Amino acid sequence: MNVPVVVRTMVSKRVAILIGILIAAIIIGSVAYIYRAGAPPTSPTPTPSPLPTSPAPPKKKVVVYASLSEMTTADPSTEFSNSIMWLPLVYETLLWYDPINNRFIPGLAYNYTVSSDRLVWTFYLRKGAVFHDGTPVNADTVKASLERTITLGQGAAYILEPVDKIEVVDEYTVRFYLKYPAPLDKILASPYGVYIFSPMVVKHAGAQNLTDPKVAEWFNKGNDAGSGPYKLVKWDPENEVVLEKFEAWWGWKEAGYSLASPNAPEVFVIKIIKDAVTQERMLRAGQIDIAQYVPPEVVEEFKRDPNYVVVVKPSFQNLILLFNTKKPPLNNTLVRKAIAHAIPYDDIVQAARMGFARVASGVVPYGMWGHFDDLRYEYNLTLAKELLAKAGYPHGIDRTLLLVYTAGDIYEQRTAELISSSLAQIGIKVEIRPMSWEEQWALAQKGWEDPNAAQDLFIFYWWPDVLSPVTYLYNMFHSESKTFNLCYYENSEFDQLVKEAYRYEGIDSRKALELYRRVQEILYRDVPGVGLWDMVEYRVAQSKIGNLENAVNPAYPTVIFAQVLDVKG
Amino acid sequence: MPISRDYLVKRIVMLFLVVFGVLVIAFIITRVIPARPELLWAGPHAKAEQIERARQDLHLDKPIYIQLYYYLADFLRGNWGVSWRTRQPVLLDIISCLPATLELTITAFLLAFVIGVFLGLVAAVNYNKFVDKAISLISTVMASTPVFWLALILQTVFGIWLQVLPAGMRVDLSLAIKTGFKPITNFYLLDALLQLNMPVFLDVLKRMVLPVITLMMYPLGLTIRMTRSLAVEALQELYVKALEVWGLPKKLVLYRYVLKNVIAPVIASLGLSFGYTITGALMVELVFVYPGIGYYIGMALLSFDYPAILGGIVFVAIIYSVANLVVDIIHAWIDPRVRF
Repeated sequence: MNVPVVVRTMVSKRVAILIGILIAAIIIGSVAYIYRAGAPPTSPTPTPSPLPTSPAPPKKKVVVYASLSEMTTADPSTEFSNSIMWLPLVYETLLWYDPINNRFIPGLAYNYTVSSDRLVWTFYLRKGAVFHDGTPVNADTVKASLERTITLGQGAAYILEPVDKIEVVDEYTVRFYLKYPAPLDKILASPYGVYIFSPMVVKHAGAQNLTDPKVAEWFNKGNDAGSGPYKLVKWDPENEVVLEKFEAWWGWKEAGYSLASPNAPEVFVIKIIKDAVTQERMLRAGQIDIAQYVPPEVVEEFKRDPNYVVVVKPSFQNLILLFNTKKPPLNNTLVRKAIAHAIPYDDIVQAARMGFARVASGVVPYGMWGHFDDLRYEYNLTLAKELLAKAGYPHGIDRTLLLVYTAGDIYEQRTAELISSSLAQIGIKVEIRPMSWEEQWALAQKGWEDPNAAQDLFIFYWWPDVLSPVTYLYNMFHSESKTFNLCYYENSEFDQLVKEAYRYEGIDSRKALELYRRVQEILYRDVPGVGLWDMVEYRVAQSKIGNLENAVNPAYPTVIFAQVLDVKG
Repeated sequence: MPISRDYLVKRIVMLFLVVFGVLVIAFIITRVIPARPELLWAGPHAKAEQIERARQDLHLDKPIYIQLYYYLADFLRGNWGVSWRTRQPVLLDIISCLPATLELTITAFLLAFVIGVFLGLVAAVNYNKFVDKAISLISTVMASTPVFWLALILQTVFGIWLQVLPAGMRVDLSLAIKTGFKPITNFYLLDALLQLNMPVFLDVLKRMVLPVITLMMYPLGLTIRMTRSLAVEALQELYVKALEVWGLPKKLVLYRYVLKNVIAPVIASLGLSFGYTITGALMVELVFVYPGIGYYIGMALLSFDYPAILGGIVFVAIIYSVANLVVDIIHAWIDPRVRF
């Protein structure tokens, strides 16, 4: 041991530490550089305020809403997924629809008229509505916006299929000519594809015209061109979306307008938290104000706690069981009917959803126009056994049936388990198999070519793209709808009546309702599928969030209409 | 130069091979799972022709080796694919998530190192006394506590029951908005300092406490145990006795001579636990809603977002390999006995 050695190792140790620091600095520096190079140029402006405190910030009402899913795209013409959560706050449609009372709430149009043959619809636009860039909303912008959706043909564009021509009558009047009668008011109140935006996007995006892909790019960078009560100020689709109050919105000034509140939040944040339990924990810790979703088991607890408000509303999402109608033994209507009578619907609602669901009556959910409340199958095992015996299976079925559901969905899982154990009591063995939605759907697709290669029982959710019973009846049971008719049901009488019913919806709603009744009776008789339960939605919020009840509308699933919130304090 | 150039070159070649291997395996796993990614890409309620277009866009209509070729070619050009959920380039996503994770893991590692070495030495000096036994017990518990459990417990106790520390998220959004905080480097602590925004700086720091404590536990326990056993051994060596006989102060002996023999292997083992910490970061970030790499990969897993999962896996593999290499280099620099 001598001193020089010690000194040398001391030095090399220092050098090592230095290098370590250097490497860290290089990594940090390069990350910062790359990130800034890739991100939009937000120039770093260090506030020249004196140390140590920043200037007293203005008091702003901020409400944080936790979303269960990340946002998708930001293009109002083509977006057909999760971003619907904020689109109706930033953009407006001509009308809004209140499905529970079956009435329309004026949006950019304050009134509309329909010709007697229901083919010509005239909408009168309000004056004084402006886009966030200052451009006024007028008939030309309405025409241009809707025509972009039609031309691009993506997302929910097909809902505008009946529109033949859009005509600008004068600055504030726009007229639609339809190819065939259709409920245009409902279509224009859809949560997808019918938002009106500023035609200045062409200039902002440096594009040739509205359908130039540059416009979509511009939107998807997090720019908005809407006229709604909030502006999009931060777009980080995986983490958070920040909306800020648009002071010049016409609705703030309109006396008695039901979609505006004087105490609406100045800033509305959508924070993505993809897990129900984490949402619950963040809500309890005061980190978020409204939870999209907490586990149903804890809702009762929140209801009793005065620090929180709970809003419960019907939703148009329902869980449906489809039978493989082409594969024995389920190709026999009597067997299907026996199963329909052997499902313990009430127990399922209690056990699977803690009561946050309603036993389905038909496949059109409760609360929607076209729903009938007398299309339930009675849970009756004796009757089920009799039907099974009549079908030629007095001792049950010798083959194990395969029931598939989407893995990871605990409500589907519990429902499937209860169905399986109940069917065992009438001598039907069921294997329940969780699959990823992609696998589940791919398996079911095989059924159109070879029904024997597909599952026997298929469980999945449906929710509306058009606010009409037709979305449930056509997509899952019409023989043309190969994508989602996963019961392989083919009935030409049904096919024809469904289309007719939808057509009459635009002309004569009484007649349409009658036809919808008839097609649902056909389904009730043929049992190609059974509605299991209609979901009842709930939102839990801190008690300072007032008027949450009216901020939730089942026609616009997942949306909290922040402009109607009454935030205390 | 304690490290030969040949060795360095060999290590770097190995690094590329490892990353390549991980990439190929991960790619194949994501492709042989019988899923239909085009459905995710096309979105819910997509029509048949939209799904078919998505299939072609994603090259899913081609055999797997052609798909791998496309992926590799793009990968080398820095195009790691586009997230199927967010339609953002994966690499950009990952890079923007990275600072959050680095902020947490670097802090946790530094703290674990400093505190761990100190406690380890204290235990060694008091070998077999009460202090030693207490520290040993605590360090065993630390090293064996599951991260996700600890995260939930800390969050429940301090974030929800006592509400003395925030239960999650990187920054109070309303505070950030009110004070006009704008992320620049995405290292929030650094950003807040650059903008002289003390309220946000303190808030970010406060929000780091629970995740950092959670992440710190495993490397801390490990460091204490390593330091203790190495120091106990070193204290029995003849040179230490000699130094003591020469009359050198006990503290000098401990911190200058014993520590030097202890620290290199400790750093090496800490480096190896980096991989574990990254996995831990995944769960810690999920529990604390802390949007870093772990959170990103977790979200991607939850929604079958293959390009994002792949990108995340490969990125972690790169970090892990690079960290190991760096640790080895540092190890060689510090300990003159180590020669590669």
